[in-house]
Amino acid sequence: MTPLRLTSWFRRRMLVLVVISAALAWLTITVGYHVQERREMVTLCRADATRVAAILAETIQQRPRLWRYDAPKFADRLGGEWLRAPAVLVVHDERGARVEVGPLGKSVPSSVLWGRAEVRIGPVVHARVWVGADARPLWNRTLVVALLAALAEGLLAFLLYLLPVRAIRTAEQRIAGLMTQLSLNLREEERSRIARDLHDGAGQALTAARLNLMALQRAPAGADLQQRIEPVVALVDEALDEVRRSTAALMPPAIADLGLHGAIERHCEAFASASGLEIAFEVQAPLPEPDSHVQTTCYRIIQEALTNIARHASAQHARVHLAARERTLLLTVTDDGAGIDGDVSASAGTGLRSIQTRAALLGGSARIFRAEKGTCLEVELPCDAQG
Amino acid sequence: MVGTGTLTPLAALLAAAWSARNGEPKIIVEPSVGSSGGIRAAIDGAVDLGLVARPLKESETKLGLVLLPIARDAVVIAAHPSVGVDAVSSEMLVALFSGARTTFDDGSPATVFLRDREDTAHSSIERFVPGLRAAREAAYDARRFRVLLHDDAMGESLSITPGAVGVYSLGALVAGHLPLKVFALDGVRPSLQNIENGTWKATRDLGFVARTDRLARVRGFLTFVASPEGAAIARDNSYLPIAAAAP
Repeated sequence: MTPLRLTSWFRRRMLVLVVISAALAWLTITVGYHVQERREMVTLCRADATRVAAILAETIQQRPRLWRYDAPKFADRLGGEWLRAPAVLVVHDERGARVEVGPLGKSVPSSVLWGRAEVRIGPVVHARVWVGADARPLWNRTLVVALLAALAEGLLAFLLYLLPVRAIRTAEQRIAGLMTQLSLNLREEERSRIARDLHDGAGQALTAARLNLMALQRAPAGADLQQRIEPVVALVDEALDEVRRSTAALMPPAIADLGLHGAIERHCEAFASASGLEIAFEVQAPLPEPDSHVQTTCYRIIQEALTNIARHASAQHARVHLAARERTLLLTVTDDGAGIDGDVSASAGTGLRSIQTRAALLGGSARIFRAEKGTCLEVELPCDAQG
Repeated sequence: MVGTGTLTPLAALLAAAWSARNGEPKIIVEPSVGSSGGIRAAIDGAVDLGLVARPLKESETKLGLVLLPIARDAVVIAAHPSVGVDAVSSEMLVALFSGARTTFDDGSPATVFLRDREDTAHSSIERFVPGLRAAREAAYDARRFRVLLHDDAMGESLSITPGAVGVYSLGALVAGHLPLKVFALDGVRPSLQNIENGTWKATRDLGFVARTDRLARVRGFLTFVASPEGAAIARDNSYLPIAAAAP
């Protein structure tokens, strides 16, 4: 029986999902924090710049011609009393020339966030003020947030990954157990049937043959011996046929003799001849060489499918198509009959359910659906499935 | 002209006298921007003369500026007129600036005002008062007292704040007619006579700075400043004239 490999399938997909989710969450937290803090810093710088502009406007009114030469002292006062440290102050006059403002304007860090304001006296813009805040501490804080978020997201992702995987693993083990049980039940059922067939068929025939032989033993010698032996031979032939049928049920002899292709072809011909159904068998070469139990399952499914068509479909034609995709057998059986009505799974009879069970036990699948005309059965069987 | 507020009152008086004589060019004195501001304005050519209360730095001399000494000013301890004492000792001064004492000898509360670190008034007096510089630096770091950036702001603050005390210019005080009390320090009272005889040692020289290419334009005014009439104006306002003839 082929393992389901649900856990490994789920692991692969879950890992991708969890990693993507964690990365997105981490990115959202980190970028969101940085953008929000940055916006706040710029707002504060803008507020500072507005206040500085108002004070500078007073200075310009007091010293309209030479205010720029008082700017360093003005900036010193701002640095001591107004601005948040560390801050950078840059002032441009009305022509755009930079005005010296002392130490506050000399050392500009490599990464600065700026807030700007105009120095207006009436409608006239006399200068423009930029107040800058060193952005390096923000980058450092963002780095800390990113690290913490990565830790939290990593832990969360680990749990999100681990818990479902463990649940799936448990479920897979339970399913595997059930499938093993189902397989054992099927075998037991098949053995019972064969034993019943042997008992009812070959057993009865051999018993009758034994009784006949015992009667012959008691009969006077020479008396119509030929006539008395004939029914015994017939009974032994009947028992022999029954034994052949039973062994064929265990392993179709045609596969061993002719191979899968030949066996199916012969069965289609024989079935067509017996049932009157016109059957087309097509093979898309080359086919891989499946394991023997896969070949048997494929053969049995075809048998079951054709029997179902003959019994229930009222079809004139059937088509059996066998192909392969890599190491998977693809079997399609279609007919031009009445087709299946309503819910396929609910309406599937014992034969169709048997097909699905046989395929599932090998890790394959079987799908039955109503075709444009008639019914279509699609089966996939892994060539390397373990029996 | 523009520059230090210590010289601005005298410069304004000299400019007014120059105008009264119909001297050319007409001299306008702008509000104080400090010595460094005056030097930068002179370098830029924004003014013909900068007013300074400190010597030129080497970097400033290299830019083609010349310093023309005008007057010597006494750096004094000035206080609000309501203060009940008129003298302090060096120890008392250090105690006030360090915050160890918050009252004058008569028990009235004292409020100390400081000038900014760059100002030369403090350094002039600190040469003769041990411990005063350390006390002042500690006061900046502790943000213990209000710091004023211009002489005119200092004069105004001392005038309107009861109990206020700070370092100021005797000439600016007299020329600006500020109603301030001037303390004797260790028994010596600041006066023109004591500056001249060397008894009052806390002084600094004030001067004009000019670009050499602008000197010709103001030569007449500089000659007037160095004249007996200009010297008399300085002396009348407690500045000791030291002006030489313009180069």
